Amino acid sequence: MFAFCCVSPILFMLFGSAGSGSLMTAVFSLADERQRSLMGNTLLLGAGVTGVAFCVGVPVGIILARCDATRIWLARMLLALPLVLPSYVLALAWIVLFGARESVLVYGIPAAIVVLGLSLYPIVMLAAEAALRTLPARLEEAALLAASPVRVFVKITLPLIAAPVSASLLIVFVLAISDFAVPGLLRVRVYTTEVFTAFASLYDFRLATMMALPLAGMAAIASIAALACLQRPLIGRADRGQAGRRWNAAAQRVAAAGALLGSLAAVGVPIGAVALEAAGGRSSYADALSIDAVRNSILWSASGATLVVSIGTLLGYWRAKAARGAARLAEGLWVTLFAVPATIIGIGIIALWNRPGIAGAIYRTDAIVVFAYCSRFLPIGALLCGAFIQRVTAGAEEAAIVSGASWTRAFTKIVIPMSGRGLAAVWLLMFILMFGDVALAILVSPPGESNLAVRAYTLIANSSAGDVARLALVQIAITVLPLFVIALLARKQVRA
Amino acid sequence: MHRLSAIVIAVAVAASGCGGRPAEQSAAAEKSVTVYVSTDRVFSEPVLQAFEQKTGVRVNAVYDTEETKSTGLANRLLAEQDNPQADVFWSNEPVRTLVLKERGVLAPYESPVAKDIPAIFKDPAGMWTGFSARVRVIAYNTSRVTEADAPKSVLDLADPKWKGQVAIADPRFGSTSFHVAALYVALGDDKADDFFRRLKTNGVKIASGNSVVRDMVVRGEVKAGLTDTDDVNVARQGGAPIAMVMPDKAGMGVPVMPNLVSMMAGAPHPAEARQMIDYLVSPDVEAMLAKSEAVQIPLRSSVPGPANLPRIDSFTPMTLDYGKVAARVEDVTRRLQTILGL
Repeated sequence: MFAFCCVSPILFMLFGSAGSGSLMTAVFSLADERQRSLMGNTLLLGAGVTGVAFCVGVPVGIILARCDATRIWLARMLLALPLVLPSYVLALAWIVLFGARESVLVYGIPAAIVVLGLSLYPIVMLAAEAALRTLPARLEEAALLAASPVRVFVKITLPLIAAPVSASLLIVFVLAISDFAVPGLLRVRVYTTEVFTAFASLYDFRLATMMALPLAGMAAIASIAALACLQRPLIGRADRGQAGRRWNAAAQRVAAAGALLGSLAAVGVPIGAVALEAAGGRSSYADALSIDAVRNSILWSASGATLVVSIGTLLGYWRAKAARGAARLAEGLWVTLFAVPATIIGIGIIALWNRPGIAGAIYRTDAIVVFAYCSRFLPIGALLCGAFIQRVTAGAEEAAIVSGASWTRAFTKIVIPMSGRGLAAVWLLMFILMFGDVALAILVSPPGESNLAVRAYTLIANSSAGDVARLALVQIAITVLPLFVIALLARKQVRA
Repeated sequence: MHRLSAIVIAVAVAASGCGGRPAEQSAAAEKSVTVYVSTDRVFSEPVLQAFEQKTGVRVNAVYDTEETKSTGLANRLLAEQDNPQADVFWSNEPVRTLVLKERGVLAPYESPVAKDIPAIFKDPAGMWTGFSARVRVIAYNTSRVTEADAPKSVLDLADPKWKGQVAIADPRFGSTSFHVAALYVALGDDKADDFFRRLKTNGVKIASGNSVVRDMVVRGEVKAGLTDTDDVNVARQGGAPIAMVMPDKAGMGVPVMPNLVSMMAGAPHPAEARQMIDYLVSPDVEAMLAKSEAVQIPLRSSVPGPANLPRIDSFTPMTLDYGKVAARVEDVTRRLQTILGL
């Protein structure tokens, strides 16, 4: 399934491009000073955004994990909202907030790093929180008997959550180096533009595919570096009722209040700026409210997220059991595949599916969008699922099998429940990323059908800033609603 | 967790059941046509809805985003070339259509309704037909620039008195790519290179799109910028301090960008495709687009145009061979990457 979904469209594009002169063009371009400058900017942007996401996401994730889930569900949802906001909108809010002055504070790489970092930190936050909640409390508590809290945090806690946090940081890095809209608005020249130019200006698929190789190379190098630095985490048991250390009630109250205030600032400021801009708009809010687009957004994203987590769980399980070398190779491959621009995957899918027969029949249905989402997001889905499954102790599973349970029973009754929280967080992240997708949906969605993001982007083309802001507010509201429902249901389950 | 899991699974199952288009399933009972549209959705959707109401033919439309936000429909059309899904392509500028023509994606159709459209706006081989045009204009902030002081030629923008006060959209994409390629064809490479070098020295700001240029002018971030008529009009309707000048009326001519409509080679519904093309190139549609916020100028002088814009026969358009302009786009893109430091 992985090879079919993720690898085949990319291989199709690569083999179709390798025989042309585009390969040599791409190779020679690496020797060009301008290209190297663009790559330098891209690396700087990626590294900076990853740093911001780490500095914001990990502490916030820790705070959330130390509190009872029922106290901070609202703060968690609000803190995750920047991920839901289109990055383009955050850049607009940045320009509105700081005025349109020609300043390095408003435009340039530092500004792009801050904007993208604040857009993507929720990925790290969700990963850190989910990892900490399943970290056996007794490991830290035992260490606290002999060491200071800081030493325990550095020597015990951080290494134990390093796998999922590192996976999330790699995702942030790849998303940052793949972004085009924010650098474009904030006037940062990045390498992604070269790939985009090959598509949108030159209509040269082969050149675009070859030009994407350096981006994939950057991701591969980043993943190798991350994996080399990562210490193999201790495998701990996530006993029910014992999962995760909590602060005392007073500390939780303070933390919850702080998280809520912080979330209001993190979310309220950009949304407030967007709302101010929207006041000048003239379009009706109802313009973006298409029931079909809302339905498609929710159903395509939910189906895609479910498919990704289903396959990703199996891949992650394999990764957890695989030999060290094979596991690291797989992780490197997953990160590299994710760095391939969505447009290349989309064109590859069209080439593979748009043909007479059963493939063409499927191509003309909504299912092709779900397959496209799977192709794009399964690599990171597998990476994240693997990070959480890896933390499930082998002993519990083996004990079940030795006791006579089949592999299937042990997998569904032991492995899945013990990694359930993490898998749920992965599902939520996949849902959010797919919900906001434009690049794939605009290429493969059946004529007459679109999701909310595509509808919003097609409506905002050449609209005033105020109308853009209005549509963004509608998109935010529509995205938040299913998340709010899921958060409420999850909260009730936890209380039960 | 069980209830949550059940809800998630139910949603997924429901989604997997959502497949296929009613039009596809009942093709025999209901006629349909698939149109890929690069013209802004806010302007084109009402036109297509009117076609549906008038003819009863269901329209399956795929709309495009602003050129710098996605790689757009032209790439989809190229990718689908071997098994076309689209019947008609409606573009808002010539470059995309001419790229598709060069790649063999289009089929010839000369609509009898387009007989009175000037020949310069029709492909001699019948691969595309033009209708309703936008014009490239110089927008200026009326709070900072008087009408008398506003630049009258594109070449004026390189004057030192406009230093740091001019914005253009990224010349690698969209209608700006068409405009710069047209300048190279009109001026010749040496003069055009020199102009853009002087523009760079003058501190020209490169924005991500025409609407961003317009917003920069409205905010007063720059005094003037190159953009399209519809972008300026949208802001003017909202009371923004912005006006426009048709550049080079007395010189090399005003760059005119007609909408282009084409039939796809191997279109699944050729009869409906021809019906759609006949409709789009009709005087009625030109009148609709003239009255809309798009303020598009009819190519027929007999059709009333927008109140605040001159008629097509009242100014000198830039003399253009759209094919030659499209052929220069790749080369000009590479030149400007170097000259403007993109």
